[in-house]
Amino acid sequence: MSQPVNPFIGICALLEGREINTFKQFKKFFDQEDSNTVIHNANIVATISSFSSFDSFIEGLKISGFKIERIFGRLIVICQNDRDKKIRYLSFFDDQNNAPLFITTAKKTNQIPETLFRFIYSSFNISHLWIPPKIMKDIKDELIEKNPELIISYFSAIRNRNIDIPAEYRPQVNRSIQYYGLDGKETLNELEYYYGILPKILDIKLPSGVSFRIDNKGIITFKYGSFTKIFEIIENVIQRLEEVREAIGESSYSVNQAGISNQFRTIVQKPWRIHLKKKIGCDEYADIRNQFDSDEWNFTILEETVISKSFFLSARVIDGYSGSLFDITSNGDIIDYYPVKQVDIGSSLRFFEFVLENIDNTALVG
Amino acid sequence: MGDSITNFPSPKEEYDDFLKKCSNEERIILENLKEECKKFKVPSKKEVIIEEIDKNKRHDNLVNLCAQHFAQPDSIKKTGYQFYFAEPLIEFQNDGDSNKSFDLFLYNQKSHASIFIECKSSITKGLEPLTDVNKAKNLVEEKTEYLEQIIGEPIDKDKIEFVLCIYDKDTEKVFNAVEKHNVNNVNIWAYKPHSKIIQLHPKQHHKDQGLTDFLSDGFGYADLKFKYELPFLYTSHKYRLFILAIVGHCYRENLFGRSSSNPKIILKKHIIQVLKDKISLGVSQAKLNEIIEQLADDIIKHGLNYGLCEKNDENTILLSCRGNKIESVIKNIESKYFDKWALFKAEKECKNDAIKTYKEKALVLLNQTTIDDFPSQ
Repeated sequence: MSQPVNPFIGICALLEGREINTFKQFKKFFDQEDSNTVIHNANIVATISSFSSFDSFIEGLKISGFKIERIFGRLIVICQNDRDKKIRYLSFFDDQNNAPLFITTAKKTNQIPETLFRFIYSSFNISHLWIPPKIMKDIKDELIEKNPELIISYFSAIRNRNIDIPAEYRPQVNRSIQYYGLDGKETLNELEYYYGILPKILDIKLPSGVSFRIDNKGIITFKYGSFTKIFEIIENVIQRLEEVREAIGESSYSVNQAGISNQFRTIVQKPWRIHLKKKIGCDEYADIRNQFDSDEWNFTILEETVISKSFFLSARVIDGYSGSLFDITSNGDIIDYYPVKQVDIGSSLRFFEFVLENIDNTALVG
Repeated sequence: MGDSITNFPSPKEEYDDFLKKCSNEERIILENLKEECKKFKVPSKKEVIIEEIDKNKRHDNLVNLCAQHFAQPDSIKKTGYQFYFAEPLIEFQNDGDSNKSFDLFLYNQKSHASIFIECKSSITKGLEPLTDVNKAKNLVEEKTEYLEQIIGEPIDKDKIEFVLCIYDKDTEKVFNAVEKHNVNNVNIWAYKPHSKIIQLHPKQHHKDQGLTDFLSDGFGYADLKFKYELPFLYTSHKYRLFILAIVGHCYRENLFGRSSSNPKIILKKHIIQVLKDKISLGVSQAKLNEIIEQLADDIIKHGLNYGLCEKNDENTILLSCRGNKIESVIKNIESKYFDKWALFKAEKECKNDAIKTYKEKALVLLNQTTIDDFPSQ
């Protein structure tokens, strides 16, 4: 099946004269149209945001250099140049979930990072829809339960020794596994049991023919079939992350005035809090610290104070992707995340994902 | 090496002056002595600077923890005391040796009571911090009316209290000194790092019973629901100010804002703005401009001295480090600073040491008329 030069022409033709305003309408559109004939080999980038409205979402896109080409209600076609090539996205702003979706045929290796990721990292109001390993496993288990014939042909999985997942063999070892093979489902199951790993990337083929790759950043590479199943998964993840977004939304950074004529400026930071079921101490922190500024996470500690024995940590951190600054403090049981200058949902969710992957996969916010 | 030593330093002669007079062979001897000394001194000095910065961090951390008690709306409501600003009367610090300012100023708008807090992260002798507090007390008493003008509210002189906030391990030696020397009006707040609370010394009380009760119960880390942003203070170590303000703010904003063609070029006015935004001070606007500009100059000078930056033009500096990634810049500047600081200090001490050893060896060797015993490279 050959890919049209510009698959968006086909999509726009189908959308002509229509307005897609709700997620229900959006799903229905892709249900009715055989999306695969219009746009295949697409990447769906799921995000979660704190934009106050559709207009502020559009404003954010424009600030980041996107041009709005077509508007069909909340479904829009946007584009940005990467070198000489126009990179287009079909984007749906979902008022109800506040979770913009981006669909594109652009390359995941360079074109998406140079355009969309740049927007995601530079805007404080949008984040990748991080899928924590435990949720990824649940997604996989639920899909298997409903579709026992499902095939997993590739997976990438990790084990961090700080994570409280049982393992039969050498649980103290950090592991990273990549597996190719049509028996991926069975192998993953076995490795989960024996080596205590959790999935980060999965290549799934459902009996209905739907075939896709899903990774922990919420990027779904669609290979075949209808988008409907994928939207269901995304909605499920959004709902599970809702309380995290709510907690982050309650954090703040505000300038207060003290004194009779408000002459003394004080800055008050209100944190969002992570509760750890598994207490961390200095030994665990040494391990965590190594992961923190790894290429994968790219958090840089500008300054830290660690009090040993009973453990107390206070640190100022830079998010190496977005450049955002934030403070964290921890007594081992809880981690408080204090925004600096503004609340950055992207840095916040990425930090939470870091905690889930490297410190405690059962950590909760609130 | 057969020449005999002909030059001998005079009693107060410095290394560099003496070196100019030396023959080539004498110069080699002297320089070898200095280099030998540096082998041991440089690593030792590195320990010194790391400890010095760590101590400064611990101090600022303690100041932060104290201030955070009064960042919670509940505790402000309960005690009536509010954090106004840090380092009260710092503007008089350079007026003479006897002046020493406190770290925090709290004020109670209802009762016009005030509390001045001094934090100490480590104490050798119990009386030492009390002497400092006493000096700072004198300054407060002398400048009460000035402070009233600054805050625009009356300060009840009978309700001024002074606090020394210290680590719990130092509490008893300081409290013993308070009793022994009959020190009045200084309360001790003990920070208990393992319990993560600050409590008033059990044998002391504040004039305000509500405050006494609040501090006797102690205020724990887990109770914090808000905090004041005090990333650094006016008196923080210059190196920390360089990293936190110049790299952590100016460079980071240049790098990620992509507004500058070379993010390592830092505008002096950008540094001043960051310092003004982040440093808590209670001074008039004119004084604030004056002392913050001076502080920016001092931080830049410190950076220039240790090769962390160079002057680009009248209004900008250029960071001297490898790489652009924020992590590499921080690591590069950190290692450069520690290395250069240690080297500078070691060099200075080793010059004195080399002269001293040279004299001792020369006296022996002059009698032997040979210098073969001198260490060579």
